[in-house]
Amino acid sequence: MKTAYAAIASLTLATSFAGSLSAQHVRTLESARLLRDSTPVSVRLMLGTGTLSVGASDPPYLYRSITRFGDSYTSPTSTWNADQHTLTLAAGQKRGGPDPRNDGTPDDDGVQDWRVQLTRRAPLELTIDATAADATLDLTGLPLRRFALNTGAAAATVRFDAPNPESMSVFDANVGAGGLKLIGLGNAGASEARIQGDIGDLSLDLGGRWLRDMQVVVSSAIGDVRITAPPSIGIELQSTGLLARESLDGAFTKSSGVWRSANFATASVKVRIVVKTMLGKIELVQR
Amino acid sequence: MASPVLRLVLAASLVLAACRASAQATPAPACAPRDVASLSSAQGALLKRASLDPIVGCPALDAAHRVGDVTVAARDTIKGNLVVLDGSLRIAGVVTGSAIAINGAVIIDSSGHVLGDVVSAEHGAAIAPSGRIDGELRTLDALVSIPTGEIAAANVDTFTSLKHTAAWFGILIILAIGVLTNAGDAMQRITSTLNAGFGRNVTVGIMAQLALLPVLVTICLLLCLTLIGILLVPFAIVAYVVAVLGLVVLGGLGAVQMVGKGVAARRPGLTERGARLQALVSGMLMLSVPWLIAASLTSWPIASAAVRTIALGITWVAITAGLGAALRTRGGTRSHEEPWGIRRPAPSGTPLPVAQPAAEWLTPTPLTGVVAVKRPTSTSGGTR
Repeated sequence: MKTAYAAIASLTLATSFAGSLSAQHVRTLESARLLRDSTPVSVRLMLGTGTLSVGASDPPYLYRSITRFGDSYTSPTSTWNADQHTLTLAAGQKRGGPDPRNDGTPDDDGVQDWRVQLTRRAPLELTIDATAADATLDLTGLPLRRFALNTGAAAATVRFDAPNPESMSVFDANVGAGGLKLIGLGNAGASEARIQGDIGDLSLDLGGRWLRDMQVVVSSAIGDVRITAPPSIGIELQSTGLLARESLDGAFTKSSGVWRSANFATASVKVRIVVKTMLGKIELVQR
Repeated sequence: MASPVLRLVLAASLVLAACRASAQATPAPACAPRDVASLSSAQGALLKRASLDPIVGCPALDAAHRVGDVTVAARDTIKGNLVVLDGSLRIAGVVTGSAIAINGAVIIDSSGHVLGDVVSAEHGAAIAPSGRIDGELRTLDALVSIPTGEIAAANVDTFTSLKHTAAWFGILIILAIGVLTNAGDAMQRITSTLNAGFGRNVTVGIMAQLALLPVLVTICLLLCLTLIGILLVPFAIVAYVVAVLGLVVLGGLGAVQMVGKGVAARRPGLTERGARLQALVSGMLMLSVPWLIAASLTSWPIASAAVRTIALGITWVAITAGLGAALRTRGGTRSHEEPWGIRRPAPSGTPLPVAQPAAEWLTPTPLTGVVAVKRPTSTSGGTR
């Protein structure tokens, strides 16, 4: 029996120590898919935690995804439906269950960087769900027909530095806490923009090349709303708020509770903005 | 002594028969290795590691395997998956499955066509896609991190299962030593009760398990009826659970001790407590054997599930019998032959049973007293 006891004790010790020899691991996965044709594609990006950056890719790719992830995250996944032309990419999901390395060492939780590049050659309907991830979205040059952003508790920056090659139906941003910075909304080419924020500041830059009118609805619970617009477009602002205060910089006149820029009647492009906020400052600057 | 152990195994067999259907329903593993006989053990381990990585997956095993630089010529067609180890893969022809290079790059010439995914992993991972690729391109700098060495090469899941089983063994041994130190006599009474009638204890244990929830509900209802007792319901639930767990642990360890006494002869010269510890460890070891076998068979899910079911059955029967014995001995405080109820004085007229004191405490003092005797004194006069 003594031998048996010794064997069991040795096995226990050996298995305990052998597992602790592994080291932390951060891996990089680059995945891509070649573009076959210019059929419109519906793309959904899903990120749990970490950082996300989105941009445009060069041919011949439909998408390129570069993920740097620690062992505490599940491996990035991709699902492509060739019949429906839908693509779902997911990353940044925390791994459940036991430590995959079984070594008890602390996970490198901070490592989850995701860069996604999408094609310029096919019209896109892009939806981004970022639960708790800081998102930097450079949508310049992407042919977007529809765009939706849903974030939980992280900041997001969206920019259009060049006109959208496609006509966008709706620009939809639903940011929870963390705020949103939107640059060049005029280049989005959308007929409607819906922006909702729970907690955090919303900054909207209406710069860019305007080709058609737009209706912008901004809802914010707590936080400032700052809108800057170029002088070439006509602005109409209607705001409601429980404890909100307005601050306008530019040539505006108020009529029937609605602010209008001096050029509103003659401007070739008219942007109608409705801001609903409960607590915060509404600032409109047109220069 | 062997008789209770035999009954334990027989009862476990009945449990196994009941659970056999569920064990057979376990799905077979999806990864079907083939064409790996020519690979070295290191290459086989690398393939296994690649198959465990979700980014590569089963195609790493279910494939034609080549070592070194490989070229699929323009007129060639590889049916199924193609895996190249320690070399680059150039494809000018057609691969109907996935093309995978581990420790090497993949080059798809303009005439090349891969119907599945193209994966390049570990050292020198790169993909040059000039041809047609219907699937996804994946470049991975390192495969999933798992412990290296022979154990990991065999199967990381087996390693994990063995480790968990050994850890449970260690925890239970520590628990057993604690119980032996603090409630050794109670455990001994439970063991004696188990030896006296194993089947009866199992029956009581099953009835107790069936009654666990109704008793708890009844207690709560009675407390609620008193209105003020409603506040005590959470405490009653916690106390009830703790009491049941205590009985289960005490009874289970009593059963373990019984098994240990049955399988290992007492070493000469051991004290009583040492003998009990030996029996506990031996019994624990005996009951751990099926779990260790199940853990070592993790690579074969059906066999592992079957052995695990046997282990579960044996453990359940041991715990059930122990719980029954713990209840019959009122938590090991009395002999199972003593009737239930509060100890009352015997009816008048019936002499109370008097415990006989140990012989060394018996004194010759007569109960009827001693006749006083005058101390003899001198009658002769004298002066002081």
